[in-house]
Amino acid sequence: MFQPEDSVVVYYLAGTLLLLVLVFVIVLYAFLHQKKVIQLKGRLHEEEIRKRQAIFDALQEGQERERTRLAEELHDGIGAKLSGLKMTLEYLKSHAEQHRDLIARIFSGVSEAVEEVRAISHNLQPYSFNDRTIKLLLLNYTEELSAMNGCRYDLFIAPSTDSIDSQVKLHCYRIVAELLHNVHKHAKASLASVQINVEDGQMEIVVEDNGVGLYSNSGSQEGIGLMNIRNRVKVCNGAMNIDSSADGTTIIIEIPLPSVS
Amino acid sequence: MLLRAIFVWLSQASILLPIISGLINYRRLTTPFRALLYFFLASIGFEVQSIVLIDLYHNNMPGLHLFTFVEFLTFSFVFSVFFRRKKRLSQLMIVNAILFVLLAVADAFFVHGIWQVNTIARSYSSISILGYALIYFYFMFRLDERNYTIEHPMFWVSVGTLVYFGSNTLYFIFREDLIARGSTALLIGGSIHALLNIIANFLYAQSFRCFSPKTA
Repeated sequence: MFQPEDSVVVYYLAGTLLLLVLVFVIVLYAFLHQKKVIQLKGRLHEEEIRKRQAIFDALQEGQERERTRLAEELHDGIGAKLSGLKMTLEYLKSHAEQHRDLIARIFSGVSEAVEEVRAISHNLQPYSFNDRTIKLLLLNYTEELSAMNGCRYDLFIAPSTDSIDSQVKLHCYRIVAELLHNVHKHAKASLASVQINVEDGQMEIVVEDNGVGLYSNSGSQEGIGLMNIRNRVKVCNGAMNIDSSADGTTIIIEIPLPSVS
Repeated sequence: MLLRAIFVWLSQASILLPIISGLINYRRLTTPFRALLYFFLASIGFEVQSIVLIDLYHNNMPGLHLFTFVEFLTFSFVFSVFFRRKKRLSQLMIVNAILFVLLAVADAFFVHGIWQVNTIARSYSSISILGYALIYFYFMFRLDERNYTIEHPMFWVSVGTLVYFGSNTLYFIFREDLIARGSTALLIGGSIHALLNIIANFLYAQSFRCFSPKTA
């Protein structure tokens, strides 16, 4: 039977039990709150990535449009004027005996200017001319680079790259062109190779050289060019791996290809 | 009696859990948590003196008076660092600390005496620290919606505080009545107190573990 003196013990036990229930409720609420916070942070993170990607895409598109405009203006505007001047000078060259040497010098200068304008215009927007393949564009580019410093550039580009999405093709060209520009400017290499392969819905780009390594001049810092490449790879949801030493550099980039719907 | 003895022994030994956890992560501990670790280390000293005084004088109450004082100040300091941006609350905590000191001195020298259990000081200390823990939970859940909760070391300290000081409050309020009810009632009370002390020490150890380096 319940004894009145036992009520103290009962109150004590009841109080302790109540306290434990309170603690349990608080801890349970904390775990549920934690789950909510994790979900919220995940959503915010995804939103941030989407926003950054949209901004970068918009910037890239703006850049490409600007390049196209400049390329067209150079080709159609200054390029056309210089070509016209060249033709006038050619006529003068054959008719003005007195100033033949001077005219020849002017003619040569204008020819060089026309070629330079054509090269700049071409570099700005390779696709503004014909619908050329990556292989052809890179071949032209590496020939120009090779002529400047004597480095040999080997290209191994799979034919399946011709059929990939044009946006990815553009990114691929820009990435490889920037990497080769780095090799040309900084690597002091005698041999560089580019391999582009498409397999299992993924494009693999491998650029290798036998130069002095990435960090020999700039310490441990990456240049702006490499940062731009990283950003491009990120926009394409790809991955980049750099292996660099005093004996050379190998850069491997993997980019998933958009599936055809 | 054997069960009680086991509980008491385990309760005393469980203080090593937060000490080991705190020492492992010592370099990463912030100031309030180092203070908490020093308090746990000092607790070993208090336990030892309590055992010695019981053997020598059959009474270890002076140590308990000092322990209550150190315990209140340590936990008040830990919570005050967390509440430092709440000006009014910080001021209230200072006033509360002064009140406690006055109460503790009065209890030790005028009310119960230095050789008796400091029921008033201990209860007041427990209720205050319990209050701080509840205020912490209020701020954590209502005002800080976007941060992880269980990764905060203060969360585990507050849960441990709730467990230990909550049961302490009830134990010391009802202690004299439990003694009057006989050994069984005191055994139940003492065992529950010891068990909750073990749980609290686990939780304090977990709070120190929150400082360990995170793996990706």
